Amino acid sequence: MDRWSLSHAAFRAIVVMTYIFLVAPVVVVILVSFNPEESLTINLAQPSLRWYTSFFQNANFLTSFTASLEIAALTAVAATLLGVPAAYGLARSSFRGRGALQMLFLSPLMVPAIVLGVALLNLYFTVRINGSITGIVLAHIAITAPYIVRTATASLAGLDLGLEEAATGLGASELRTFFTITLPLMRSGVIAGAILVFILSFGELNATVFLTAPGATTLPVQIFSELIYTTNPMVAAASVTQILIITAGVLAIEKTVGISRVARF
Amino acid sequence: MRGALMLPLAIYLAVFVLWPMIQVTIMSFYKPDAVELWVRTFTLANYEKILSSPVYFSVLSRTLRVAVVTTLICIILGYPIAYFLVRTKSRLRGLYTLLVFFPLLVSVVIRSYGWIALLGDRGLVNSVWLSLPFADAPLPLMFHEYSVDIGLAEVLLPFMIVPLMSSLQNLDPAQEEAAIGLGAGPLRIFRELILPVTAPGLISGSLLVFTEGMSAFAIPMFLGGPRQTSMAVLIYQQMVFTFNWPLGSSVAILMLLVTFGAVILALVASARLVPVGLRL
Repeated sequence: MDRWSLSHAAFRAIVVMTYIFLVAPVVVVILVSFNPEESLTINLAQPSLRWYTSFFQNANFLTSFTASLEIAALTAVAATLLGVPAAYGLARSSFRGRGALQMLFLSPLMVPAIVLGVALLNLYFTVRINGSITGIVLAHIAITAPYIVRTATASLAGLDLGLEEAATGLGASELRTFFTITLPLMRSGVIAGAILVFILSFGELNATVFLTAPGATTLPVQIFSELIYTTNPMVAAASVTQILIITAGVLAIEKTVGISRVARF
Repeated sequence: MRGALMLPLAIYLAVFVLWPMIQVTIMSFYKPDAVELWVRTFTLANYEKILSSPVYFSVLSRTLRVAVVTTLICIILGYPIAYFLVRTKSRLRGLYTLLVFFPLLVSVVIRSYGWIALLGDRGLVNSVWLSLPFADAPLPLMFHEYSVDIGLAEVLLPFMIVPLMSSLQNLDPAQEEAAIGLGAGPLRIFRELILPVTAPGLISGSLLVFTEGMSAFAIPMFLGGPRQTSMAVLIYQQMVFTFNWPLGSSVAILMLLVTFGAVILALVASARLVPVGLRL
């Protein structure tokens, strides 16, 4: 063998092994959720759905699951309503301090979520909204807003400015131009961004872990607190339920604009 | 008028990001108090305590070390995958790309659970290991610093792959073919063609992996166990269990400072190493 065929073989092996490494934890969680017994040992000979039954009968898990869905939906709507106009304003205007504003819009990406969680715990404590669904939604909007601003900015960059100019030239107001020309053209980008926000909110842990209380908690935080005490396969069943919802979201993004256009950093 | 469109988000982020960040910075200089949580007396004691106590300092240095090691692992594993995804002509390319993004969107608690199920004494890796004739005890895979390195590398690998992919797209395959034709080996092609072109992706990928690694919470919590605490776990303990909010806040501020330091380092590296046209 010459050095090229050798390095091709090595390259192929590394790629395959890295893929296995990348997906192994998720695959293992899915397999464990079908365990017939209360252990982490994978037993595919007798798959069982008992942990799904116990998940859907567990009041704590069920409450946090529905709360997570509600929080993610509210966050997606609110972040879109705040983020899309902001991105439009940013793309279609030039003024001093525009860079600073852009920095502000992306600032939640620069602050680690865990630090923001600490900061918000402090704020919520003083205004007494700690441990509430409202508080969690408000935090998630701040964390996810940059993603909406970025996907919306990207879809604005791909638009033909001439269409907007034609509309205003024919006498349409700026507002009307935005709603009848620009927004419909950037629709798929906005929808994909909103779904991405839903997914991110649905899985958020680092900031949320500071902001929950009994009765007002999310599924990831509930899984987190269970994992401190137990590795019971019911946690895996809860995880798989979450994975299914995330998969639906990922596929929806893939259908609208393609995941690699949205998940940019 | 268009400026007004930006106002709602600007106000929102000022209230829910800027203002709390200022508050937490101030809090980090307050004196902890058992009854009142804190008293408004300016002190540097929280920072002194973290930097002088061997226990706290070891948390800091471990977190830094784990973030660096994780970044190195992600560089080594990220290049082959990024190269494969950019160059493959397979019909399944879309699926392969999706497989990189998908784990990124699955909550990190779920992947932590997966790693527990893989690395635990009765986990998948050890059940395979123990079935071997010469194995007599489970491998000590959990609760070590390397456990955290492994788990974090998996969680953060997509953050390296994606920027590497976008900068690799700037490399014309014809250049590689020419180099091969002229007799260059794989290592030389990597060093002289791939590395310079991907420098911007390498820098931004490393920055992302490092900063995410610095603030990692769930993976160190579950794979590191009680003895391998990270800064994020320390913050959580101080805020939620010990109720020492000033101390927790000062650890958070230190984490933020290291993150900003890494950003500056990345900008400097980018200015020095990356040709002007390819800069971030």
